[in-house]
Amino acid sequence: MPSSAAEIELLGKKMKNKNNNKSFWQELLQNIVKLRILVVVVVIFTVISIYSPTFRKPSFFLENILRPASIICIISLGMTIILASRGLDLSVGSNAALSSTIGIMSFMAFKLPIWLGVIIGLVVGILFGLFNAFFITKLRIAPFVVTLATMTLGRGINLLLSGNLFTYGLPSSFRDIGRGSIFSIPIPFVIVLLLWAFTWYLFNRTKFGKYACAIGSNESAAHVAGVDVDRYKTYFYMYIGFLSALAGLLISARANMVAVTTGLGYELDAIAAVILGGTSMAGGSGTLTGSIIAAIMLTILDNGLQLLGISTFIQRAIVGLIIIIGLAYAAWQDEKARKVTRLQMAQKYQK
Amino acid sequence: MTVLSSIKDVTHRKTYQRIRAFVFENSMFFVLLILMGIMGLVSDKFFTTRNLTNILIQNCTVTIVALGATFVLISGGIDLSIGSIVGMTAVLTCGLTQYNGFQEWQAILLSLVLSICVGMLNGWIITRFKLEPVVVTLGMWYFVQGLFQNYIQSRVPTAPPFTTFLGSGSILNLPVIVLITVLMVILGHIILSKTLLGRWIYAMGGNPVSAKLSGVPILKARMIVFSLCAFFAFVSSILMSGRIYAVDANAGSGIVFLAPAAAVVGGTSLFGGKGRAINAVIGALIMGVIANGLNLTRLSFFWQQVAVGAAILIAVTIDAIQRRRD
Repeated sequence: MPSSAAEIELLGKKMKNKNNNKSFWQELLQNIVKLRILVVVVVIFTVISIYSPTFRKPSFFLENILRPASIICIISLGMTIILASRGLDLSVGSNAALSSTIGIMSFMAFKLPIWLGVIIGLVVGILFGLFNAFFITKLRIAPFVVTLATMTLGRGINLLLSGNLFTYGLPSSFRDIGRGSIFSIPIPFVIVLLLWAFTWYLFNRTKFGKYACAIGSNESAAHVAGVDVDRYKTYFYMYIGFLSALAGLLISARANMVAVTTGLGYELDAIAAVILGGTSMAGGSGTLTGSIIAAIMLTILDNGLQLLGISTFIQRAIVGLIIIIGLAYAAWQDEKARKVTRLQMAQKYQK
Repeated sequence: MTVLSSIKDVTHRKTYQRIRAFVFENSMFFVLLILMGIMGLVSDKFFTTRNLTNILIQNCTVTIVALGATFVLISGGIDLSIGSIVGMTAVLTCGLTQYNGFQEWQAILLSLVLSICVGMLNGWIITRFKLEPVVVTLGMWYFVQGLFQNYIQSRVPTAPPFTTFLGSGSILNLPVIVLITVLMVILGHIILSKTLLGRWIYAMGGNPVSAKLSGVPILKARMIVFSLCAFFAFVSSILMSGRIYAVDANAGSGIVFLAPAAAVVGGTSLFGGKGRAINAVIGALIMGVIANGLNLTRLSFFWQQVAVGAAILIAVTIDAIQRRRD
């Protein structure tokens, strides 16, 4: 124990030094190591580019990887927040379909201006999220059940509205949102970058994100500490609703039609991306960057394996295997690291 | 006199409370009865013997899978790989006998062993690496489904004779599929309520930490629970392929969310520790009655989808309101 004031000061300086000793590069390296998924991406990327010359072209990466990946990226941003707050949303795919159908119908069938149609679509998405949140917060039903039900419900309403017809030939100004590029970067990915920055700010610098983690790690503690849990949960579901609607509009814009199958199975892709990115389903923390990288990785696997001539069925099996092995490996590493720190602590105390 | 009346009052209140508790505990059963009443009003064909038998037979497979899901849900997990186990069993049993010259019993045995292996692997990975069941079983779903779909490609094998008998035969005018389902439900009920394993399952789901501290072998119990779930999925799949006679690569894909949803609609908690085997039956029948009733009213399939979603919401809302009143 330090006895005098001078000693305490010295100790304090030492501690400070210890914290400052880490250079910028060390910190960066540590952050990269934390994002183990990046290593996996680099390995997969290298392997596929060795075997496939098409894959190596930058234009392929921009057009066939980043553009399709953008959709899952957008949804996974919201899903990260939802999972961090220990919720779940299975209705994102249906929401994307329903809100894009309504949005596009409003300017195709009712001749409203396009910007208004887009806003209507987004509002429908937010209302869909609000509907989910009502059952989750007011009636305290598990998010899994609520969003499962609204998934079926939304899909059904979408089918009724669109009557199983495909609407082709959207106006070119709307189409460009999905098909255009700015400085050869696809517009959907530009939107992803903007949303990423915005969501990062929300998640790491505002109450919104702090409360998401607080609610996720211990809901009743957060409630006792004065967090308006229900209100913030509602915000989270509304935000993912907004993102899903945006993703749905982008899908339709890129495909140049309203397809009834829009967003089918996206909920699982988004959840897989978020989990692979390093967010735990147990809630309490989340990493947006990891989710984005993982979403891009899933697309790389999808398109890269196709280029290598591997059947789509085996692709699915490989994705499953990577999910399991990746998670198990990460958990194993964490366990080892924890053991090492415990050992170091024990040695320290012995000294 | 006053004493007597007060005693009477107490006993009266007790019977009233007992009835109330009974109704609350079995609320979903009453929801099922009400639903059946509504469907009977909507269509006069609903209460015919033939239609009721149809509903029973159609929902056997979902019931059995929901039973497996109930086990996993009570133990505090969830299994998304059941759909792929159902598909794998169906495809292997029919495909191996038809294309690869296997005997029927060999094919069935092989798919049984593989199903149980998948279940045990699920349990082992989840416990050993302390991972979330949702994710592990999601990965397993993709993995298993990818493999069996790659095996079957676009072929559509038909069911071998014994499987067909199990799925669509009958003994003494009783459909075999219903008999097996009843057997499975009884088996599930006995395991949950009368055995040590059952107590382990409830303890694990209620509070995993205290269960571990009081000596429940978590790894073993979890592996057994997931293999049981896989076993129920296997049985259901054999019955399903026997009933519909032909299977393809998409077999079992619709059941992934339907099974846990049926268990939850029946009253099993998603957070573990609470639930009964009979809930799976009630939940599956609620969904089956809705689908059947809508079929009888000749609404389009799209409306049915809307109605099933709405029905799940309404059922769980009723449940939630009751729990709140308690």
